[in-house]
Amino acid sequence: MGNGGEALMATAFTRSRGDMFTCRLEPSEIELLNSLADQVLQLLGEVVGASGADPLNALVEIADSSQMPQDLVLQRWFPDAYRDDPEAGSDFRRYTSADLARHKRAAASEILQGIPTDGVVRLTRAQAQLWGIGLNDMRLAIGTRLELDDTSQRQVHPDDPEAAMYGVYDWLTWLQESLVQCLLP
Amino acid sequence: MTCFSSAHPSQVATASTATQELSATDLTTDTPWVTMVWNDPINLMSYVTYVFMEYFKYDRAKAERLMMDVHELGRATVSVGTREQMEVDTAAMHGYGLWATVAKH
Repeated sequence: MGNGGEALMATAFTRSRGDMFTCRLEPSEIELLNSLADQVLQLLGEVVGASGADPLNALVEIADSSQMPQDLVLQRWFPDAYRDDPEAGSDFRRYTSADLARHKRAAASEILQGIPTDGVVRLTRAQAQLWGIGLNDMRLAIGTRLELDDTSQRQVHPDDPEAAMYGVYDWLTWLQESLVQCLLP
Repeated sequence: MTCFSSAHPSQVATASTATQELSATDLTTDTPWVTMVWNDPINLMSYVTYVFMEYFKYDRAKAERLMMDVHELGRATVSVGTREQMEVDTAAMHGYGLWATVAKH
């Protein structure tokens, strides 16, 4: 990102009459979300055989060598459905992964298409639901990169290359939380 | 694995009609399969609650109870039924980004 900790100033999602879900994004945030959605699409492209460098690395400017294998994100997006039955798990994956990838692409595409240039996002409930999934996929990818676990203590020095990634993760968390609170009845 | 209508969250509004809610009568040999959701450090508690309400049509109290089981106990059984239906439910949970598995009860 290389924005040097530039403040992100979005307004959180609110739900208005007529069941519309609205938030306002700053230009830097539009760029960030578009970039993340695009990289989700690129990574999903690898599910169907495309190849290329790890796209999330480019976002956070971390060298490939310091990263976990990219397939850990894909493993998190496409988890095993059977813990103790590899054969059944393999069958499940064979039958579901294409659809799952397609649906994740739909969610990421909804975000890509849902941000007007003025940054005022207005979503129907159906669109907002897809945004919830798309934002979650981004958090799953970045959280996996950061090796987040329940016991980890966040002690990230500002000079740490991962500090920017934590910043993105926290911002996505804030945005998704506001959206989910609007979606809950 | 003959019944894959891979379920996407946007297409599964009626899934609850085929997903039996947990009850004593479900826990018999008639329906020996379950969908389990496992704890992970990334999914928001509010989001997990929302998913259980949205997909399974559980009320908020039940959805929050299951979410807290996931959070505090590490996992929760979120649906019980035939293997085929549990695979549909598990695929749907994966669609939402939750970590779910199919298991024999």
